[in-house]
Amino acid sequence: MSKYLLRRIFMLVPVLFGVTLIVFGLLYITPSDPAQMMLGPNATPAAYTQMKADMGLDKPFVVQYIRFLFGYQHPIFGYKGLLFGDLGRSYISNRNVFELILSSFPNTLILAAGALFLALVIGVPIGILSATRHYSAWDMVFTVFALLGASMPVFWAAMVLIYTFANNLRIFPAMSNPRDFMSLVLPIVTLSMYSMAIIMRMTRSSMLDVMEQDYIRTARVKGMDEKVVIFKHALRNALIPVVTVAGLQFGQLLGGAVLTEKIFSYPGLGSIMVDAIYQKDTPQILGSVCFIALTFTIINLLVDILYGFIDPRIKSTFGRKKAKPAAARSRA
Amino acid sequence: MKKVIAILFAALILGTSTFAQAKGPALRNRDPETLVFVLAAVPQPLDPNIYTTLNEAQIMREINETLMGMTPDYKFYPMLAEVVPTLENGLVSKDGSIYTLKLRKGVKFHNGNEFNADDVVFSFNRILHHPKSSSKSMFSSILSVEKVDSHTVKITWGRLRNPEDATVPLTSWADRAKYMVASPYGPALNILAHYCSGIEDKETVEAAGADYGTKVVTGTGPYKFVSWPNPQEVNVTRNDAWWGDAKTLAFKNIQFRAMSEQPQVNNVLITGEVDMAFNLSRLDTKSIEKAGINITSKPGLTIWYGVFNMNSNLVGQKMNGKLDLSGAYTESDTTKLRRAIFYSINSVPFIRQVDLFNGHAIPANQMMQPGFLGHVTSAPAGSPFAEFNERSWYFNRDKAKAEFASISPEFKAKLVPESITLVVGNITDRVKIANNVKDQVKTTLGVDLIKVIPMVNAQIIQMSKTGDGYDMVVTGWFTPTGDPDYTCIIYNGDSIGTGMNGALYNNDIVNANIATGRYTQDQAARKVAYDKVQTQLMTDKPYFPMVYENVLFGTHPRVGNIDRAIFGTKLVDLHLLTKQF
Repeated sequence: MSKYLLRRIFMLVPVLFGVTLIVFGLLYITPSDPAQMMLGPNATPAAYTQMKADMGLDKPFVVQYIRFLFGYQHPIFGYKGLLFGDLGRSYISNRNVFELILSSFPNTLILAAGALFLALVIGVPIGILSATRHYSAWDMVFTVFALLGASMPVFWAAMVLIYTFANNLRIFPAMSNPRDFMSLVLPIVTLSMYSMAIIMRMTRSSMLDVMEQDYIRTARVKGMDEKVVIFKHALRNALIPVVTVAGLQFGQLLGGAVLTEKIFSYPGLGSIMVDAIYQKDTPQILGSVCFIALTFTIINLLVDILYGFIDPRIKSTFGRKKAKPAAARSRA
Repeated sequence: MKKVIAILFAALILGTSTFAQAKGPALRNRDPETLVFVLAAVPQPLDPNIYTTLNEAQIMREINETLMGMTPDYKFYPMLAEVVPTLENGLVSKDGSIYTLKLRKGVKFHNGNEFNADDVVFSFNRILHHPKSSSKSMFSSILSVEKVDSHTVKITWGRLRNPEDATVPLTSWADRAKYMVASPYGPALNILAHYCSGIEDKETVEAAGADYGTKVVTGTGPYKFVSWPNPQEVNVTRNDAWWGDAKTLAFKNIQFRAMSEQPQVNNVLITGEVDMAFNLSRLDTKSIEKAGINITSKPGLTIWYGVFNMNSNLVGQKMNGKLDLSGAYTESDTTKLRRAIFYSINSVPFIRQVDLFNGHAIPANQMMQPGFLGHVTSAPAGSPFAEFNERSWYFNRDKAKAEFASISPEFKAKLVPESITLVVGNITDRVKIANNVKDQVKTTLGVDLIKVIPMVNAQIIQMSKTGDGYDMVVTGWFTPTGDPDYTCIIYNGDSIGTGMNGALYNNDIVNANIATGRYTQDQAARKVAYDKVQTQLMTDKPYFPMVYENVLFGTHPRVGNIDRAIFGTKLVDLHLLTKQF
């Protein structure tokens, strides 16, 4: 198990290195000019050249990338580098990039956790209901809702919810912040719609698959109560793919809350990232993307570990040595 | 029964979303003593000497005060200075290059430190010499700022001794003394009233270091900084010790919320979650008004215009491969094509277009904003302005066709569809304007000459430095100083190479008159000079001014005195607002 974990953690390194290289490369070739942006549109050529040199933007790509990883020494624009957890200060807000990310990440976490909780609480029972009564009217209705949830654009769903529940019914505010529970309802509902649909469909198909298994038939033949058959025998096995999907969804929710946060003016990591992109705030974009990539990878790792705990068969393979092929065994 | 419940539920959802009437903008879930103001984007640090965008400027306007103040109709009044310096009161030297400013006594910063001449010298030094300062260029005519005594400073205005030294970075007072000579400066008071010259507390700024503007902020203004809990929210509260009398402030607190999504801005105005916003969706102003929100639309300081690249082989002005613009140039096929395009355009439909200006703009007849000193108000027969009318701009189908018809066949052979490249910033409104220009030229001349290429604005600025890669540009200009000198940057020959003069327009008559306007204190002489600039520009037609955009505000009905508080810059003197209920 520990070897498996170490291997997985070691695999994070090339993944994150690749992410930084791609994002840095993309920003490098993007036709934006941080020096011009800092000085404003009416900068004199002298001030512009000076600023470019101060920011280290007059150096080739490789030098800039190495500085991004290992640091850049300058009294105002200097930083220790990504490997030392310091990307300096944002060009726009002048705040420490990682300080800003760490202060806004909990807000995004609240939204994502709320959305996943809602998606699971509603999606799983509906999935079970659909599976146990498949092809019934209820199943049809839930299928249609799932399709809607999966296909409805987030910005449109958000606007409809705001129009209905904020503008007209005045039940919830249109503007959201983490200090006000009522203001969290609409963004959480908006954010959870897609995940809810996916989880519901996954639970349904997984349950249908399990319900066809011989051991379920045996349990029923033995006269076991249907509730026990469903919740004790079928559901536990059916939940394995659901947990995987839920884990992936959580990662996506953390990175994908961008639109929801912007629409509801919510102060999360997504909003910061979008603002940074709008304003070509390179250190902030790099910091945010690297942080999201790291979070996503860690969540994937955690899901894989959790997967092993839910399914003992998988857990048992963690520490096992690679099995030899059958033919080789027989020859031995 | 189940069917009935299902039908009722569906009807409820449909009914509430379609037919429900707004209840009016009751304040929702918030303190009535707090004014909530929407910013269009996340503010930069609250450090006026270094940062210049409107978002932080709106906040800093309430925290940091300038030496001079300016009313929405461009009249000056003393703010941290005791009086407005003039020749008459002897505070301006006879040659107009030295301003002596007597500072208001007894003024304190929010932290209790006393405001004095050292703070003024310190603040101007930061504006001009701090590596990150983004307003160096705007203040570049300051030669020196010296302390005379604890409450008197002397500001000397100047110009470069040798214009070729424009490429030398002036990083200290010593550099300025070396490369500049004293000279009168026309927009001096505008510069002293500009929000970037907000005076900061020397001691606090030096002690806070890099945290100044984000964690530590101080000023002398009517409101003081409280918190910045996340990038989108800044809170300030009344400065009870304000020298201007805190009792006149209608709101105890102000919360600034950054919100870039325009439909959402409309929503939060309607729900009563905010009091005031300017980045509304213009498309929905009627529905906001219907919900009880006051809409204010008044002349702004932004001009939308098109640029003809004088270096272009299609619409430029060249002779033997070189720019030919010294006042009297030779007419060529490119001149005729430029005029044909000019007379094909009509900005009035853009103004009416509901998803563009929706009526909140007026047609522009020159490259200077109305109300400015340099705006030509008369249109005598024979002048280029006589061709303009409010209903159809300079649009003249017959003239356009005649100019196009007079082009030589050899040159016309080059004019295949989409042969003229028009670049535009990749922003929805700009692209819409550019596409309108394209369609109008196609309709009038019968050839789809223009190809619209949206691109990142920074790239357009880079291309505009050399004039390579485009024939035309559609863009906008904003003049935060309220003085014509700042608008003239667009067409001043000195701006070639900075990316601001995208036309590469370099006319001796224009350059000389801009210099006259800049380096004289005589307002009548400035007016004459700037009028000549506009007349020459509209004769040469290197630009096609299209619209002057209005500033548009949505305000909760509880907020009053809006007309006196709103500026053409989109900034609001929030301390002048009143509370109606």
